[in-house]
Amino acid sequence: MYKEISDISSCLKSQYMDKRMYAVTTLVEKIAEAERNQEDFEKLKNLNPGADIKPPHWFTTE
Amino acid sequence: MYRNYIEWLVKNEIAGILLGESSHTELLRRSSALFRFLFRNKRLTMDNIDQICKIALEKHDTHRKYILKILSDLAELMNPSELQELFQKIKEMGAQEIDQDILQLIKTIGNNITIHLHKPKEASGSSSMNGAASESYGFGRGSSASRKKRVMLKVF
Repeated sequence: MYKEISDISSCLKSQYMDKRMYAVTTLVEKIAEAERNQEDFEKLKNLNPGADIKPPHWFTTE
Repeated sequence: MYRNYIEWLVKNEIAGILLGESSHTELLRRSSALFRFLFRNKRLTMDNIDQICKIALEKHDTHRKYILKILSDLAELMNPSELQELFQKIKEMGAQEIDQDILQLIKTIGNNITIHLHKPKEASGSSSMNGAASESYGFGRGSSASRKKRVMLKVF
């Protein structure tokens, strides 16, 4: 993920508008995905209060 | 991963890049979700909002319109005290600065204050606005039908 997101950072600073547009669109998509994952994880935790539920590996690893 | 994104956005000053000298209207038009994400995660303070207001006033036409649209989107996430603070900043602007986009922002602030006013007390918690503060805005409580209409408008 980090390799890709650092590419996004350089795209955002690019002089080319299409690269910058790609960067913003990708960032917004990634944020939406991260928020959905977070919501799903919270729902899972609330279904079984008190249980020691760990986030799945794809949630924490880069 | 969620926190990594937040930290990455803050560390790389993405909001600053989007609003800075190399800013572009098309980028701003697409980046509202990004600002909302930062605000929801308390990485955009009211000081940052103040800076965004100042940037909006320095820009012209379309640029200003999209920055104010971002502020309007952020206002939907604000609690009553933050809305009050934002409204205060608008009040401090000169009359010549007030245009259609600022009026739209004021409308959003008004709608959200009304929604907060009609929230059950236990749900609104400590951030609930007291009667005196609501009086200072000059927003009435209105009927339940008008409230429902406003909520419906907000949904769509």
